[in-house]
Amino acid sequence: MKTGKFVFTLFFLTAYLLYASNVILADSSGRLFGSILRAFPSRDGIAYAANEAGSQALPFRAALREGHAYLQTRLKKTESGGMGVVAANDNTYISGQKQSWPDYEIAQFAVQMNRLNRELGEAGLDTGVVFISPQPQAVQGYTTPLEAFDLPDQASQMEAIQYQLRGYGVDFLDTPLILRQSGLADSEYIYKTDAIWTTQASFAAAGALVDKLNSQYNAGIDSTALEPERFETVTHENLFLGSMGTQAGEQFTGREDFTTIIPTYDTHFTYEATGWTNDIVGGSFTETLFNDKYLTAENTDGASAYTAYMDGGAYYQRVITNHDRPDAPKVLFIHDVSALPFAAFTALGFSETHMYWPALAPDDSSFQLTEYIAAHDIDYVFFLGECDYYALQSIASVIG
Amino acid sequence: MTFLSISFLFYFLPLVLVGYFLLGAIREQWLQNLFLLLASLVFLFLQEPLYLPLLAVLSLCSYWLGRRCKTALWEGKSTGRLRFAAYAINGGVFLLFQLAAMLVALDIPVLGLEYTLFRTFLPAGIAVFTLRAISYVADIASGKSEADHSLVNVALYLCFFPQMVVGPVAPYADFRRQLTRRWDMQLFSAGVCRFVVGLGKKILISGNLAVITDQVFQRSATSDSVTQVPASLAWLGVLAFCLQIYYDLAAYTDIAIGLSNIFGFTAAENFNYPYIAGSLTAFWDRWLISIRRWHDTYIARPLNNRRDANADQMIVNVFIAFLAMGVWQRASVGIAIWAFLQVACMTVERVVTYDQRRIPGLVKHVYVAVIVLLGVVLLRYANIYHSLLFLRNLLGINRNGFFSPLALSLLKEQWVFLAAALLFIFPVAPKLRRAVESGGRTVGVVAAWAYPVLLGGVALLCLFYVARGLYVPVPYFSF
Repeated sequence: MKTGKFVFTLFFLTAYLLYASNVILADSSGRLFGSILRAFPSRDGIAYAANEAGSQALPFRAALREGHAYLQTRLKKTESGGMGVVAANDNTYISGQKQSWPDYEIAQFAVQMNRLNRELGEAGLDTGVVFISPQPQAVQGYTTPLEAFDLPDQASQMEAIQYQLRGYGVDFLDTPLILRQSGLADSEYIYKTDAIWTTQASFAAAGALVDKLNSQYNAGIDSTALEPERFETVTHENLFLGSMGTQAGEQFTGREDFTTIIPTYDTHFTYEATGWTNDIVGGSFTETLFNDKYLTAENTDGASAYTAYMDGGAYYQRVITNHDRPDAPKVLFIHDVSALPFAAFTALGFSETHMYWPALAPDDSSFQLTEYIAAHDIDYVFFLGECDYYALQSIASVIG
Repeated sequence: MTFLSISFLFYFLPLVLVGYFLLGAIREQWLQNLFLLLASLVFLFLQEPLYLPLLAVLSLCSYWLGRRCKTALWEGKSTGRLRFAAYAINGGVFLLFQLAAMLVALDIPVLGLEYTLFRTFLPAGIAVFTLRAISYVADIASGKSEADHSLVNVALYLCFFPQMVVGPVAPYADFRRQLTRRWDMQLFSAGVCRFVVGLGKKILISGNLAVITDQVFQRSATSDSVTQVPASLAWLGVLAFCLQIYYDLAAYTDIAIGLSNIFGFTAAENFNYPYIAGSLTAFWDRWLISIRRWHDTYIARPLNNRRDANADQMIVNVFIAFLAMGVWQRASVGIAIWAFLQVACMTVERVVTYDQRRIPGLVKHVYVAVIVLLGVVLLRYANIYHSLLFLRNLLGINRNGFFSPLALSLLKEQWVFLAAALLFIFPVAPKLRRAVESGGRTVGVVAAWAYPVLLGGVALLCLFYVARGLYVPVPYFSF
């Protein structure tokens, strides 16, 4: 046994030190120390920051995750990572970390929205307030929550939210109804490896929002801006690996098709984004709001194909100016990840699209909703978040 | 930063190893010890920067009290007050944090305090630190050990990072002997292997069992949801939790012993297959051995040595020692009931001479298992009301039904890890070792190659999980 231990020590130590030195050297950009300095002196921030930076620097990270995924599939498991990802019966994946919103908090949210409406009116602002939530993951016949694991039923949550909003006179976009009428198949609403709606679903909903604003608010938006015939639709097969797919591993979830929808007509935008860096770019849709560099199968870690629209979660505040429609309404999105392809499409119909992502905003952000609406002469404010407790709570926090 | 975090495994530990062995080339042991102390302080700092000054002050306090004890002994004076001061200062600070943690857990506001200082965790490593600080002064006061003139040596004993989670806790005299040590390849390679075994226990077994226990016990967020746990699910949860806490603590012990061996230190064992014990007394001789011994030596025994101690008083003293051991893990009403249950059973065992009676082995094991299961339910919940509700669920007298589809799903998901956990509560490794040793040359050669391959596989699997993002929930205790 001593020989065995000696042999193991020799090989293990060599491999371990080589691997660790690779981790340290891979971090030559100083990500680790930068993260530590940023986290100091918060309570549990330093170790967390070091871990986050370190996990990005792990050599062969994707291959190791695939090793984990292989193990999961061999063990015929349906959950991965302590219920982080749960495979449903129909080979779609549900995040086990999604939380139900208690009924009284849903009602409270509706009250907040109602109050915002009233306050805007009292301030002499004629701003429309509309709530938008993507189609929940649980679509009947498509993704069934595993009853045994007691996962939240997002479809019921969505119904409860809409019921309360209707009761308090708050306008909302009935996304499930729109998607049912859009001609899309159930399986085209939500990615199976992520909790976000597909490009096709968000495009359909964007068109429906424009129609709603025109018919209900006489917004005067050029409805041809989102006519499907004026867009090029391309399907990239087996390209997309969503955040749940990346977490659990490709072997566990597999890849899925990713569709891009791009306007074929001339467009002129200025796109100003604020995050870790402040960026301003000008040009057409594909030069500002869409970047095809993310459409590669290899680029699955941290920057999925979803990032192709508006650079994903890199920024917490954005302003898109559409130079072709100076007289169209100005809008503000209080949103999460769900807004990314959606707002890129609706921006084609508005003169200015302002966006604020509260979950990504720094703690010292001075964003004040009513002041912002007044200062930028916003015509419509949209609250757009996925049907999840934390996502909606974060959006509601902006109202105060 | 935990032993399983990327920051520890791929930044801290390799840098400390390289630094330590480079200093070893200079052949100045004190430099290596100083380096280990600095590494330990960095380790504690990375866990919680705010508490490091507190541990530094407590270390200085212990050092000073040790020196004062030495002087008092030399002058022929009593060391009782100094010993009391060590208990009061270290135990007081620790109890303060535990009490605050308990009030936070129960959500009881006192004087409108927000407990911002205590809201997250106890100061990292303070549980082991407290035991060591008290034993350091108490041993000097009783003449068992010499006061060390080196503050570095004392601080290293108190803060030695490999042993800061669950020990093992050894007297200072044992540690001091190892401050001058020679590099031993055999000890080093044993340490590396033990470290990997510890990682495997924690990541592969305990981490997967935690999926079961969290699914069952997370339903305890409200008393209503505790009510809803069907009996089969409750039994699966409590069985998984018993195994999880064993593998959790055993894993940290393996990691602690492994790392200590790598740096040339030896450390006492903390576990000796406790779940095969046939009596509760035997169970406690095999569970958290060094911690249990500490409570015997530094709490029960000094109380028993008092002149007025009789048999009844001794039982009370054992109860106090168990209560202290429980509070060492968490302060709650459930802990007090747990301690009472343990001492009551051990007292009855002694009175009826349980060990000498001819009772079938199966009955003995079932008896121990029931007491342990009851105990962990008391330990799991901060709120005693939730513990009682869960016990009713176990007995099926809560209108909770028996069958649970979740129990079946969890069994289907985690059966491999559950089976491994059940297998390794038996002394499989020692039996295999004996078989190899008595199996002749061929068996020896096969084992010499199979062992590194198997352990390498465990290391690789652990790396898979680390890269995937570990699922490491905090068990009922937080040290």
